[in-house]
Amino acid sequence: MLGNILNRSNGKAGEGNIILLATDGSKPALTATKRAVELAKVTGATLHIVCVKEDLMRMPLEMMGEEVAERELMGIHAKGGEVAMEWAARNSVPAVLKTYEAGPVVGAILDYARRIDPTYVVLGHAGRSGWEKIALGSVAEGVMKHSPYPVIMTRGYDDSYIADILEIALAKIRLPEEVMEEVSMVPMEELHIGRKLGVAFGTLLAFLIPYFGLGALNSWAADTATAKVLGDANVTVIWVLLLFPIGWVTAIVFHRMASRKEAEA
Amino acid sequence: MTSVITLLIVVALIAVSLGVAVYTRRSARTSSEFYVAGQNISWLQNALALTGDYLSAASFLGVAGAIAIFGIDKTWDGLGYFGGYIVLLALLAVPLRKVGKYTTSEILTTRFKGSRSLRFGGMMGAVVISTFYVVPQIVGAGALLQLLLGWNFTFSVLVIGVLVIAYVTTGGMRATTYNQIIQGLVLWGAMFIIMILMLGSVFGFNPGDVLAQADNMVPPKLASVLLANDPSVPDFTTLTADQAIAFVSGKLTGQNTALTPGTFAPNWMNTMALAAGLVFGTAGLPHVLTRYYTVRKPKDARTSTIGVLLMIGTFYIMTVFVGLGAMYVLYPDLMGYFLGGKSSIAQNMAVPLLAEHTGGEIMLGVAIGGAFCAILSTVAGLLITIGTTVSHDFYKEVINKTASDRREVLVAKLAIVAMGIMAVGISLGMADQNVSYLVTLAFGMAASIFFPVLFMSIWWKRYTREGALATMIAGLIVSVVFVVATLAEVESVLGLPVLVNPALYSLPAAIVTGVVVSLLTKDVGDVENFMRKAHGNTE
Repeated sequence: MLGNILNRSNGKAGEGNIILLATDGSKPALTATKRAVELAKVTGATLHIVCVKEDLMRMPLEMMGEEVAERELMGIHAKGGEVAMEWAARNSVPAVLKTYEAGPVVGAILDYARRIDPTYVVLGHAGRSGWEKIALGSVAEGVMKHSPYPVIMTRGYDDSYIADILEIALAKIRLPEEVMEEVSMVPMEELHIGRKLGVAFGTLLAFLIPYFGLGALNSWAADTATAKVLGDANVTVIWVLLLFPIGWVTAIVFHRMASRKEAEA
Repeated sequence: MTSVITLLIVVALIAVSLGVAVYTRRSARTSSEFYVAGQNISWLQNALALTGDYLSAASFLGVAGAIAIFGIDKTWDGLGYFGGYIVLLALLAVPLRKVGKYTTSEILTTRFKGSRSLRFGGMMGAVVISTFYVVPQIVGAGALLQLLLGWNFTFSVLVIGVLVIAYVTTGGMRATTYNQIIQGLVLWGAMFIIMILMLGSVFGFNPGDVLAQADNMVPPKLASVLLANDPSVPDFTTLTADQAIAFVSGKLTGQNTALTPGTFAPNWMNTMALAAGLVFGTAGLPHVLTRYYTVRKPKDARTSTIGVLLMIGTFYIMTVFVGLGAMYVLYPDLMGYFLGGKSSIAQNMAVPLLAEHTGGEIMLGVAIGGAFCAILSTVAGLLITIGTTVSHDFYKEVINKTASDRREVLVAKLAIVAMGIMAVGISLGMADQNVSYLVTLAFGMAASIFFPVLFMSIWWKRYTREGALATMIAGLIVSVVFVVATLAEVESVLGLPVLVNPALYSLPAAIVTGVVVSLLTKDVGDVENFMRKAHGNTE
């Protein structure tokens, strides 16, 4: 099948040619990675791997809906390139990795493609349809639509097919516990937790004293609270309106103090 | 029932809001024109997005609406929502960002590894708090539909419930950061325009006149209770504002005016309960903690929070004038609604009614449409957070560790449907409540269930696994008992008077229980690594 595909490739297939793989480390992308490496191995092409650190607010349910699956797998999102490099090395396929620090993904993939002029672009399609497709869009379809190069798209994934490459992917992920182990072993005294808590409480009291003070005034000094001080505005109204700027000043002072301490450290 | 123009504006605003959510996601993923937009989200953008997320129906409809019927006493709501971010800033924002966990379950199990009971407690707390946060949004939406289309409240709530559940479960979509920025600006801008139109058309651009009028009015909520059985009460809808105010003031000489504190919280216990619940509640709200997900560096957690404080602070200052101004402009209407059995409109619709009064059908459409967008965004965010918490933090971790992805998504969707149905059921019984008041109850629970356990986990080395669990259990039980008692209008529980917010009892109960149990037990978890992570100088 691959041979048939190659024969439709403007005559550029074969040694010295370039295959561009776009990956985000998801299961469909791991499928595409395996296919791309097979293709490069068969044709003797060099594999260029592009990986984009996509930065979009997504809730875990949406991530799951995208088949990127288990939360720990999300950690691999930006490591898809490293996985592909390792898989290429295992299969003795020469490979180059390009990582973009920010998306959008389609723009980054096509930008890199124009630079290297590949024979093909290979990528995985999550297999969304219907409402999900409308809501979430599709990188694969964006590349298909805008790419001046032939595109080979793998659809969905089969867990048994990607089992071996998935092992590499999982090994790349540092679980939270492992990350914790790597925290530098600063002595606890040098964390100055007590001092930091003191600054935090100082900040809080600067706001909470006038805040609860308003409650005390209203509760125990009703005559003072309703005494007019500025036109028809009584003490309570003025106090309410002043609490907001007090909060702003408190927050800004706290930020400056904390920033200075961090700079000193 | 409102005009076609208003209805069209509302539908258009909702369509734009949904459209932006879809378009920004699609374009960010598929279009090179947005290349620059894909760069880091700045602290300012993040602050605006946090503002859009935070300003729900409670803030847009409830705060000014509550001031319009209770007077200055209800500025506590805005002050508390504002002050909550200072507590978050000083005590939790940066350590949480450094630990890199955004749900209470995850934070606790990072320090107390493998604790199923803490995971379960975190999930239960999140479900209870979020339910009480979703209910006011649905009540607000129901009242909006009632005003907009003339439907009755029950039917309106059922329609809203079905729509929201369908929206979240089929799309699983949450507004993007860009959409929330737009929503934040729309809500802030709508409140600003309503205030300017009101000041210009009624008070000659003199905020002092608003206060002068407020000082002559008995708050409509108080007046309607005191005059409920008075046979001399006229048909308020036939009176002008000045005539209605003069009639009520003449009848109720010596009563509190709109500038007199104590109409809502009549003594020190109620006042302090409300103040404590609000100021410590923000730091325990599940959807607020999750939003720090988008903050890139610990330092940005502070700058974003300061940005939020500026935006919501100015917003709540506007609600003081809009609320008091609405009380004057709408006095006959509010009295008519209360005495005519339409409390749900009187409680929450002051802002849209004022918008109509000062800006006609177009401003009414903007106000109702803006409120709908805020409601949809908040409810979707909360339901998805809960669905994920139940399916991932609980089902996958505790019940079925080998669950497939599809099963996990199914469980999440079932949890969303179950919670949605529960929230709709509770909403049906809450028609006559102010939405901001209902949200203050959710704040009181968050202040009791999550704030103490997060605070002590992050700052106290001697805090133990058992202490953390005891803190949550005590906070959960005491706050739920007193919230139920409040809503059931019970006067006292075990000899303690039931207050407007549970926090005066439940917050100290949670802290004391946590401290005592911690001092009696020894398992402090992975405290050294946790503290290094939370308080180390990692930028």
